[in-house]
Amino acid sequence: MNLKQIYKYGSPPNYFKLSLKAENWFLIPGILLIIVGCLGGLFIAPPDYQMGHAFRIIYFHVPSAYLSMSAYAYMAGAALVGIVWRSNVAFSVAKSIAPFGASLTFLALVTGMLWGKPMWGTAWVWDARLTSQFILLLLYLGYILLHLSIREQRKADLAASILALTGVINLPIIHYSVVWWNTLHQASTISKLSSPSITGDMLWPLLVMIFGYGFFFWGVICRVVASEILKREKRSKWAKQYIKELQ
Amino acid sequence: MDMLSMGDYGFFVWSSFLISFLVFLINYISAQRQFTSVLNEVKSHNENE
Amino acid sequence: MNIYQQLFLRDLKVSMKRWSDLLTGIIMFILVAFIFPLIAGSDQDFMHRIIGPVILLSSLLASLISMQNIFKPDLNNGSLEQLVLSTHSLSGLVFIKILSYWISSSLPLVVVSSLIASAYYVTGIDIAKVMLTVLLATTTLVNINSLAAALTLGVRYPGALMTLILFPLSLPILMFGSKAIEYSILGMDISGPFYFLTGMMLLSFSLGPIATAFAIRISID
Repeated sequence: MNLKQIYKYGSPPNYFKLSLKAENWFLIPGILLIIVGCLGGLFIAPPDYQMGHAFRIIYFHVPSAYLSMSAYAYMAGAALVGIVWRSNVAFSVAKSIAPFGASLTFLALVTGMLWGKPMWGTAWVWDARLTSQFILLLLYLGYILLHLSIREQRKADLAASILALTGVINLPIIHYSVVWWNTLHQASTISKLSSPSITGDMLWPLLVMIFGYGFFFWGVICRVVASEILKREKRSKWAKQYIKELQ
Repeated sequence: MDMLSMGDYGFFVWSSFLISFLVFLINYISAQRQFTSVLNEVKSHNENE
Repeated sequence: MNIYQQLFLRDLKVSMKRWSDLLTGIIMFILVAFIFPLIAGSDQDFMHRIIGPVILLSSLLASLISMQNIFKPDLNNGSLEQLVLSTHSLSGLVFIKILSYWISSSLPLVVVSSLIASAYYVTGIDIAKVMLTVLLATTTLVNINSLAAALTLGVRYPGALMTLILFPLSLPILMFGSKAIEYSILGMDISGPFYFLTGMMLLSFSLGPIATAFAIRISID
């Protein structure tokens, strides 16, 4: 296998150009999938036997929760690559994922509350998944705040990456702590909160939305990574060349 | 009209849709604007040299 | 006497000199634990229910308030830089520093928690179990604190950042610690939470100094 083909993308100008080229290949399928998923979920899927039309919130809640967690894993992975290989590109990717990841976590919490209010009568429940999402939001915010607080970019990258890695180790521990805690306290709400088994008619819009969210997410991240790389390398020759070619 | 009221749950379902749409839109637009501002920054940096 | 023993003794002596800094943590611990019955009611049942969370929360807040004393004074007087530049393993030196910090800041908390437990109407062997919980929980908390302190060494106003880093990472300890205390008071089998606390202690003492040493290197040069 020719590893050089992969390694060359470790250099900023190559990754920059790759990102910009790839952006629309992610955005357009993402937007199409989201549109199809919304139509399927909001109109085509039949209303649920127990929850009526309110279950449709699942098409917004589950993809954002799932993506927020996988985005954090990607961020920690990029942070690890950055630390081990001292790669500016990897640090740029990690830094770019954080804001969108945090807003996805926020979305998961808000849609969760909007689902909870009509379903259980209360906007917030102290179950494992909602609490873990809140902790995830704090981890994202800590990462972003650490980046903003440290002036020197190299130090900020390394420090924030350590935070991301400790967060990723702690995330399963926190989740299972809360699960364990809840099995001891709220036995009555467990049955309410277990995911309903879902029929095919309702399942396909969910899968479409999950993929659509993912594609759109990576499309936006491509653009943010490109800005971040360009900002870090604004003094380099290839940046000057790129600007000249634009004009 | 059933699709607007969603069987009394209309507020919750459509708010979820609306806020998801808004968050995605804001992230997309901020990414575009961030890119153009970095482009301008590099341009002015080049001109100053 | 090798470098580790020397550093250990030196850190203990220095923290004895700065006893007023240590006192902030202990006072915070006592005050938070005392405020709860005063404002939330003090019947025995209620006190038995809240003692677990209250003790763990007091330890968290006490550690938060004295977090900057782990590395900041040494950074200011230049000794931290000497440790980084020395040829010895920084992880080992940091381990010694964390250990001595734990002894000087958390062992008094263990002793004080016995008084607090008896103020919360806990009797007999259960007080020893409360003390043991504080002992185990503070070991992990001290490691998380030093990591957060090391990450924010270069930041001028680290307040919000410290809290934001500390809170999610210490959540499992708080949950299992208060469960352990609750079980001891109810007379149930406490081995589950205690195994978890011990496991977290071992995990944090093995990985914590490495991560903290790395963070110190980043923040210093």
